[in-house]
Amino acid sequence: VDGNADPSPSSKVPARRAAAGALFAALVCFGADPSLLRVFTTDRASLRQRFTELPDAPWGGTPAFLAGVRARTEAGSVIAVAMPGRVWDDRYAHAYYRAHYALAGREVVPLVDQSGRMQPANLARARYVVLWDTPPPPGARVAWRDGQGALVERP
Amino acid sequence: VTGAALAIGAIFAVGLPLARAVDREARGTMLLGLAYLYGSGAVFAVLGTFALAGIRWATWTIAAALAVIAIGASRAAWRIAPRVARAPDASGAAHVPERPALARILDALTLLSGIAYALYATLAAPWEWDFWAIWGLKGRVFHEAGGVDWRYLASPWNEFAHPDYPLLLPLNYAFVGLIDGDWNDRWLGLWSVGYAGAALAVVRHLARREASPWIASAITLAITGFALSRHVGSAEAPLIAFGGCGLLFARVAAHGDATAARHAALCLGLGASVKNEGLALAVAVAIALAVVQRRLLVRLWPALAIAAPWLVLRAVHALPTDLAEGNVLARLGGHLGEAGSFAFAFAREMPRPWFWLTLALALAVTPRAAIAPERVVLLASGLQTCFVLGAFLMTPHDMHWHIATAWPRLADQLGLPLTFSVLLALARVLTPKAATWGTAVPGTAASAQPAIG
Repeated sequence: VDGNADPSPSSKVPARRAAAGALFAALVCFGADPSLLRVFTTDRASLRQRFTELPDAPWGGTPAFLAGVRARTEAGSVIAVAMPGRVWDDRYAHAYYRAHYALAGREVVPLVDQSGRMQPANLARARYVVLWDTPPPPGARVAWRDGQGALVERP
Repeated sequence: VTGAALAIGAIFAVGLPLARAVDREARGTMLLGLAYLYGSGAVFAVLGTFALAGIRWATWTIAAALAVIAIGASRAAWRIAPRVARAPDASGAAHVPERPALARILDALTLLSGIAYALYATLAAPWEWDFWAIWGLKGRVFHEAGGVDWRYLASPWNEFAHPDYPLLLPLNYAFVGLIDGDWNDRWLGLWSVGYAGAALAVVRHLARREASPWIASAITLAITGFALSRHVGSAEAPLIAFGGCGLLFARVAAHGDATAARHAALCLGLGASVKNEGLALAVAVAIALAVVQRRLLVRLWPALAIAAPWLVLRAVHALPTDLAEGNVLARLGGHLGEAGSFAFAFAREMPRPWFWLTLALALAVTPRAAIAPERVVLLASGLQTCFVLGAFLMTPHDMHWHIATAWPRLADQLGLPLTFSVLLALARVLTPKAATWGTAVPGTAASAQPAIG
């Protein structure tokens, strides 16, 4: 690598240096992101609250409900997730994925797949069914209720 | 915060001797940055090895294994003879008694950005989808299982969690749970802060080796927008840190620094253990070195040694990769047919358009002699961009959705090394004398060349 060569022919040196200086300054300005500094002046308590609620907002549930389900189910148990309509939409997908995180250590399975096909085999394997916004079927053994959610234990 | 603080303490405790064993001359913030990177890598190696051996994780056994590594590395650090060949330290640091005011102001802005980032990243438990549906999820699942849960990864119901992604980050998160005694994600944003801080420290040091204090400070400030990744808890911050530093070390290695070659190999291997893009970057750097400095290629063997076990394991367990699903060629052909639409999508979703336009302009107008020392970075970045574009063309997802959700992050991954290289190239034009690259020993006449700026 020939780093010794002077990259600036003498006739164009001032203009080249000015251009290089302007580009250097512009890159530093555009690279550094001052918007992060807003964290010093923003209401951090409300931002914290917003970020805490953000993961569960799309499915309308609460971390407390899933924590309650976790406290009442054993590690390794199979848990199915049920939502109104039994369709794979954004809300169901979000609840299903979110349940995976909150119920880690259990096996969380869907009752409907991404193609909209029902998965009765998953229901047959499930020891528990987490219901959200969905009334438990008649005769079901409701292990726990909390607001819009219920935990049904299957025989 | 106790568990997270203890875990970070353990990472530094094992990382410091490791960093010194690799580079006996590492000092100050550079040493701390390397310590965090290598300590995090050691945690990954120990938890991964235990899982592979079928030994259930327990706090004391993991701690003992890390202690053995720390002691071994300490002994190795003392035994390593001083280096005989290193790229010249053109900073002339010994001749500059103190930083000029401009450098102090720029460093203060960088520090302020770092503090702001630390506040932001620890506002709450990481909230991004990628954290709780991929990285944090796996960390929690593995914590519950006391090891890598292969059954979980192989289940078709869990494909959304990208079972094929490497495990460095989830195993670091599981390590916190192990120390805490239970899963607690409240302070896991600190890991993003740690990786970002490590990247800034390494970049600051590498820039200072070649440039005057104010230019080094300006370069470090310029990369804050990339290193301080807003995707808290996700793989972006470690990927940018390992990948970016790995590429920059490879660049220095190409100029004759044997120690930098070791750092490059380790960082690229660990980057490949963070995410698939890290693996692609390691390949891109290897190709770039094969073109620019072929004899260095063999010195990247540690990167292969670090990355290979996961590649074997994911093949053995047949963990699915979404990009390889179904008829790849048909998708490729279909997407190529919509090239115009996709080019528009790339342009529309380009993050920081003014930055990238300025960077492109700088590349176009900077004289070849000034840009020549940056060949490794430019070539590897170009190849990595090709790999990324190829992945978009192969995607089984809606390509517009994929571009919108992934392209801004992928562009940020290359922002760090490209910013470093282009700013240094511009600095060579700005200053009367360019820095000298060679194989001189520090302290010799060659190494005492004036710094850029």
